[in-house]
Amino acid sequence: MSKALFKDVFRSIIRTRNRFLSIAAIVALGISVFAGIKATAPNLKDTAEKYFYDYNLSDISIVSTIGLSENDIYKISKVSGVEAVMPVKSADVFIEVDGKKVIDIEGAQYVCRATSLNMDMATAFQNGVNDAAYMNRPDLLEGAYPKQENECLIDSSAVTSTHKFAIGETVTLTGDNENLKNKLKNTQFTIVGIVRTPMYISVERGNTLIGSGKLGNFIFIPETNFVTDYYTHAFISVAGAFGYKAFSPEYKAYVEPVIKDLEAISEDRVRARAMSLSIELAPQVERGETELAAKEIEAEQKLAEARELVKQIKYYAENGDEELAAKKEEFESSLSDAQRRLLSGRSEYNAGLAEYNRKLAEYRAAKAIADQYPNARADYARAKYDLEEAKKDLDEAENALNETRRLLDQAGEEGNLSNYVVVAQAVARVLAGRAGESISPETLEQLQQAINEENAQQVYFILEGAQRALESELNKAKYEYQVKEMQLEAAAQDIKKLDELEAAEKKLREAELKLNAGSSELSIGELTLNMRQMELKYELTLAEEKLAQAKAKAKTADEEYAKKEAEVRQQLQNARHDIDNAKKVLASLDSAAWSVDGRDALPGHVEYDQSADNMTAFSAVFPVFFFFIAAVVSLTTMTRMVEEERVQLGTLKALGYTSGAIAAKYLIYATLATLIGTVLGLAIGFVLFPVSIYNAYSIMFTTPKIILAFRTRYALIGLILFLAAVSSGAILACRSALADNPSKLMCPKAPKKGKRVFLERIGFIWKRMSFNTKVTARNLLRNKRRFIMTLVGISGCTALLLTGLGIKDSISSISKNQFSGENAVAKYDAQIVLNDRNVSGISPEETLAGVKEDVRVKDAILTHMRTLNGSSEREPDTVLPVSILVPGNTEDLQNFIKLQNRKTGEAYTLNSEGVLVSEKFAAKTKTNPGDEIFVTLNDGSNVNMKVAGVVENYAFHYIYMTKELYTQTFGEEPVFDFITAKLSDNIKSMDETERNAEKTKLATDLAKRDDISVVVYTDQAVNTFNKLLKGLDALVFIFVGSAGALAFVVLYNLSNININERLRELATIKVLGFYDREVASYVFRENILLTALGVASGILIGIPLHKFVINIAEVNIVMFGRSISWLSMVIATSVTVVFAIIVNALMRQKLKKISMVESLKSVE
Amino acid sequence: MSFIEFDGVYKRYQMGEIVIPAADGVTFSIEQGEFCVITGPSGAGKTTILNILGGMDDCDDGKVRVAGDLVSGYNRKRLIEYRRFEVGFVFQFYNLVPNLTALENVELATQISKKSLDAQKVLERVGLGDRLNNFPSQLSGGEQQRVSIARALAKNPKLLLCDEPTGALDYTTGKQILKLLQDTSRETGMTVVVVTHNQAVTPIANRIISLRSGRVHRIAVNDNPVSVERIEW
Repeated sequence: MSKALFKDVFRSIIRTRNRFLSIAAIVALGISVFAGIKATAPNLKDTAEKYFYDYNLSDISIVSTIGLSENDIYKISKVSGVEAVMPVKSADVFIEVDGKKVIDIEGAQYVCRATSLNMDMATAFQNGVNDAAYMNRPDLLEGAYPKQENECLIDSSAVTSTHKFAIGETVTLTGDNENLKNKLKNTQFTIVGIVRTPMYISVERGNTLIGSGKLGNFIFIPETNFVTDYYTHAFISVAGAFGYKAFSPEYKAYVEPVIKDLEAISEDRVRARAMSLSIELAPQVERGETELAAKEIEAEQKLAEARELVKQIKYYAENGDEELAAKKEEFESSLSDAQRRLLSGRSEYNAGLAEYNRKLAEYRAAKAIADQYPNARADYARAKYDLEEAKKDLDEAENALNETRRLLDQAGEEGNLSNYVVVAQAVARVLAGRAGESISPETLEQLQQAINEENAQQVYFILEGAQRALESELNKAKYEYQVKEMQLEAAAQDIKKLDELEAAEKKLREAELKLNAGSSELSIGELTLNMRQMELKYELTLAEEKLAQAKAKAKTADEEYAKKEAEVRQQLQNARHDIDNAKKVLASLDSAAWSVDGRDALPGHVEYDQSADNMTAFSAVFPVFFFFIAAVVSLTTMTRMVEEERVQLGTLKALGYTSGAIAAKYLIYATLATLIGTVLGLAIGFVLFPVSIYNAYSIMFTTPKIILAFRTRYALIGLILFLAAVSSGAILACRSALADNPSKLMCPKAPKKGKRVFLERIGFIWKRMSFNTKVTARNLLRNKRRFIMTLVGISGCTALLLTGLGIKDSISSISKNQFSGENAVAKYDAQIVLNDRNVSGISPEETLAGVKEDVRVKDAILTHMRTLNGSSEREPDTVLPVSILVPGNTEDLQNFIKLQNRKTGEAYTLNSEGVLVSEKFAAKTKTNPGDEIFVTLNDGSNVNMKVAGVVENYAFHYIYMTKELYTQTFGEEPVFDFITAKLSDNIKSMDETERNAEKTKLATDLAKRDDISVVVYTDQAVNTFNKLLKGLDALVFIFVGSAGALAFVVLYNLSNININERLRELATIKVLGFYDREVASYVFRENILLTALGVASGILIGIPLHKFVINIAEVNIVMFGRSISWLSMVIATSVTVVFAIIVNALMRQKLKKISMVESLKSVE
Repeated sequence: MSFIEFDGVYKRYQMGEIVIPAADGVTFSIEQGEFCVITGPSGAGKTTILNILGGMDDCDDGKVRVAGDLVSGYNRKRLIEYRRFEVGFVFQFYNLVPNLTALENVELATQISKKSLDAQKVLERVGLGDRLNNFPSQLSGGEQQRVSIARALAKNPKLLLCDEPTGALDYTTGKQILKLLQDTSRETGMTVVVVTHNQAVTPIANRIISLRSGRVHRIAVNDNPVSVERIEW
């Protein structure tokens, strides 16, 4: 090719860059969709494969119905092909947080698998050691590895749990009718890390033997927690297996022989183990039974004793009141005695006091009187002295007198002086003694004189006188004496007063003493009384306290007893379970077997592969559409280009350039556009699609971030395909032109012949059409290829939009169709989980009656639910987890679950002729009414069932059967562990806040009952689903985005070409004086009609396309709704129309710019 | 005041660094009812003048008046109206819409103007009364041109402009077309301006404007135009 031609190519690229870019754009779009979707499946698989490799997913897992011994492990490791064996101990348990059982969204107890983690291996791995024996490694997403025995790592996904586990929480593990202490040292673990592991690649966790049969999540706990001496699982890594691509048939073929070899040794191993177990357990069981019997008796005794004690306490508590009352009375009476005593004491005292006062008064009176005679005693003494003196005087006087008289008498008798002298002397002596008194000294003198004179007469006279004087003295003395006597008496009287006073005083003192005595007695008495009072009060208080305590104790005595009883019974129960479990093991020894499985048995493993393959199926269809569009768009564009340049073509030909050289220009043009488009498309597509689809799938799978590999193969294929498409368009466009001879080329191309439109033949319609309409009709049909292209482009856009929006509808309608809608499958509102009747002592029928009595419950039935793996003869490879649901009352089931066939509308009544299965299960297992399906029991045996009908269902898989049929099929009666209930209309008609409050209250009230564990509302399932399905928004966005891009590119391109082709025509009408808007509508009337037609056909195409995509994209456990909402149709239409309008607006600008002069100049 | 007045009209084209004056100070006037022929060699600027006169292009300098209105000052919208109601254009290469019949092509023009004539009648007048429903591809060159003329006439314009109307036609047909134009001018008193490089045509015109290198070379007024049948080339 010449240099000038080369320049021409590049200049024309720049000059017609819009055209160039539009080809690049459509190629980019097409190839991004093609390569992106094609790359998704291998990317998904590679991601999984790397995950399996990095975290060493085991190739084979062995589970024995009776556990694996050390010896078994050893023997396994010796099988050829086995690179390493990792033995694991695990226990399937129920889980509690904060004392509350964790429940799943269906209302059953959430089951957790506690798996042993070899801490040494884990630590080594953290330090970079890649030990082949360390398999199914946890991938730590958050937190840290356990450092202590009672720490654990928890599953990052707990999709069906109503509780969200977090680091730092403590979980308690409990056994299902077994004593976990037999298996685990600790049953309480603190969550320190969140992990995922390649063993569980999807959010499905598979089945378990306990609870409802569905495994919820797993935790890793340090191996040392397990006290059992056997292993539950052996994981095997096959040497060289990682050399094969995961999921590939080659891999399966490589591992298969090892599986067979392992199965070969299983029989011997199982027998050996069975033997050792039998030897170990049989005697244990025997012993256990006897011990248990003995323990039971002992326990009963102890319990009886305890009951007695309780009785006593209660009795005391009840009768204590009486005792207390009696005591109170006693107290009161003794107190009143004391009081009485005190009172009397008091009154005595008072009396004493009164007496004292009296005596005091007397004393005072006496004193008052006595005080009047202060000297009474002295006076008396004196008086007495006086009296004595007086007496003396008297006596003296008397004596004197008597003497005198005697003397006188003597003298008289004698009459002689001498006598008188003597007598007188005597008398004088006597009188001398009285001198000064009655006898005056003169007298004495006289006397003396007289004596001296011997005057006897005188003497006699004087003596007589003296005698008289003495007599008078005597009388005086007598009188004195009498006076003194009287005085003395008086004094004595006074003395008496004093005496009285004394007496009074004495009496007073006595009284005082008595009083004091009495007072102190009183004080003592009072004190005694107080003390006694206090004492008694204290005693009473004590007694009251004791009584209160006793009462309280009595209250709790019952509880405590109940607790103790429960404890004891639990222990007995545990022992019973241990024995029963051991018995079960012994019973199972004969049919014991190993289950040796490859990776296919891992839950979600096959689904992941299938989902990736689904994408492959998808990628076969979806991108073809874009490819086709790209090809035709480029053909149209290049044709246009060639037409525009036909003169040049002719000229070059005339100049002697070969057709090849000329065609080369267009080829280069097209190729460059394709290359640019490819680069852009691959860059976007290889990232956008895998990531979006991965995000959409990540609701179902827990894998690391998707690996985005540059898939050279698809890139090349895409490049070649699009290159082929575009260049063949270019060549085709050239070919016809180049076939002509130069002169013809250089002449203006004959304008396209006008053709009658078929509509013209319909005379009466044609006549009625307005001029504009006729013009439009002609224009539309003049270029059929473009007509179809635009139609395809627009309807493609609408169809894609509809599919994308429809997917969203289908998904969001799952929960509506299943749970919350008007015509939902699940008509019930709540699942009530019952406690084990052996523990609560209440039968399910009683519980049902109790629940139904509650006004908040409209209606309720008993149900039994059990999850097993199900399949059918026709599709034995399709194994799905299916829940068998048995109603307590067969007729009532249809009030709670819609039993209707979605397609035929037939309503079923459950009977014992057969079972009803849910639609998806039936579809996947290719089952029709009349066929048989089977479920696989835990021991590996299959149980067949006849299908009577297929019911509409959107979430999970169900088999409904009557209890009679269940008993017949499984050989045991169903144990009703649920109550399915409907809420009252009253509650349902409340507004949201009120309703939620009422529901919560109902749940709490019911859970308080012994026979009810917990209430789970269907709301919870709805919420879980809605959350799950948010992830699919990304997928929808892809559709909408692609649709929009498609519409835009196609419409823009075609409109552009349309206008370019009719430049001359448009310029002419501009010259004729058409306004701009008239020129625009001259062109756009066709577009509008095409858009309308395109939208209509788009909807027609979109509906089946949507169904197709749904079928591919559906994940196993849900059935997407099949219908598209009206809103989606409206949106799809509107968005398409909007794009059309935008394109029109852009074209309008172009039309305005058409230069009449330029357009009409060229020769054509 | 002449019907058409061109006063110092310039039209320049920028080609990179070179400025080419297609019209380099053109001044002339045409009276109403005249049959005017503009001639000149290729590149003289004839088509440019016609385009300006027809409202399809604007001038860079100077004034253009038609019936007293300053056409050169018209804005875009007014120009559309000018073209719509006052001008009829006939192209060298007919420029009929290939997808429409002859009648529909004329109707295209009559649809947009209330004062337009009946399409069918006009077609009959140009002698195509029996070819109404034929597509352009079914018509000969002359017939197509006649449709084109009918389209232009049907609008009932003040002014009929023809750019090399006989350029693509043979001698006989060309003469027929010219006769049609001449008759129209004579019968309806319409002002007709024909651009051609064929000097032999000039005798039929009332006025002959010669252009050379974008300028008016000579304006000749012919008081006695010759009938078309009488000319030969």
